Amino acid sequence: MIGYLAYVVLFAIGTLPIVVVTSFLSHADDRGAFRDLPRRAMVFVGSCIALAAALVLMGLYVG
Amino acid sequence: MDAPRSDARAGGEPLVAVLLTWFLPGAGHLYLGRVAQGVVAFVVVGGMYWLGVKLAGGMTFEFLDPELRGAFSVALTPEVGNLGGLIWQMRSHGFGDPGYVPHPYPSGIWIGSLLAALSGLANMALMVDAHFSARAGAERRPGLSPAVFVVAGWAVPGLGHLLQGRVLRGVIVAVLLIGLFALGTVLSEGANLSRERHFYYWGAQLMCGLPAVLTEFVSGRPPVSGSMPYIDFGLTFGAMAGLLNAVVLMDVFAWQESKLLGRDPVADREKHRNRHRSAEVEIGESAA
Repeated sequence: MIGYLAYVVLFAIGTLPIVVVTSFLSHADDRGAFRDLPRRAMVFVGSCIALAAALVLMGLYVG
Repeated sequence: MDAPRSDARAGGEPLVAVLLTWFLPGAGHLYLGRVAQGVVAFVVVGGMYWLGVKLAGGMTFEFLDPELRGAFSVALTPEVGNLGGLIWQMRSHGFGDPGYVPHPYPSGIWIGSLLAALSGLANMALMVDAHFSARAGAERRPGLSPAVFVVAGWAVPGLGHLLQGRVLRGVIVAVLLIGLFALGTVLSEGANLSRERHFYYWGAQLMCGLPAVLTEFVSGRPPVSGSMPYIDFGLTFGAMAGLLNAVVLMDVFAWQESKLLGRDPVADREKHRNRHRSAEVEIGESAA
């Protein structure tokens, strides 16, 4: 169980710089970049969950 | 009928300047009439590559496992930024010993390998400068080239922003990216610092600049001493820190580019984003 928790924490740590840096690239002003962070975080995490679910399902039912 | 040539491109064609620089450091600047810069660039950047290959005995690409060696396997190395140097190295040394007979590396292989890689990155900065100089032409305002800020931002993540006066952004970038690299190094117990062990991860990590370079040489690339349960995360974080710094450098470049062209960087970026969005909407509508 500790192992799974560690993976979730490490995923969260990896998510933070990805979301922040891409928001910085998209917005030259800091206020706009910070305002956009929650939406970007949700899209990123949601996409990762969808991709992971697809991979797990493929692993179970394909081939 | 050809479009009239604008004054902004009176110095030369940006694409030609970039391609010349890619094949021969300094050639793009010579083409743009900046002779002194071109000669210095050729001596320094070309010399770094030559010295790197000599110190490494031409054996850097022997780090690649035999099954990974192919026509395009060096295309993902930092050396590809200096294409002329890379072609010369591949023609003169290739992947090293074709018989895969174990033999010791020369003592200078680490510094030599690093110098050749840095030559590739330095030449990319020259390409940035040549392209911008050709594009800006007479419209250019006084100020340091975007390439200067890009190099600073490479050397220390966040420094490019700090030099532009964007303190909060610079501090956040520095904390996030240097922290990510440090965490990656801890999780992989230093295994990420050896180009021989993790050839491509090392190349991505080099984009994190001096933190990566100094940690490698101070640690002396520690040997693997046991199982490393989180090495996958460690390697990924190290490489991510470098690749995300490349994204940061685009932000640094775009800001300085707008400034030197006399435009508002914030409005400029907004315009780019809106153009991107309307293109996406058009694609969506045409697909529907």
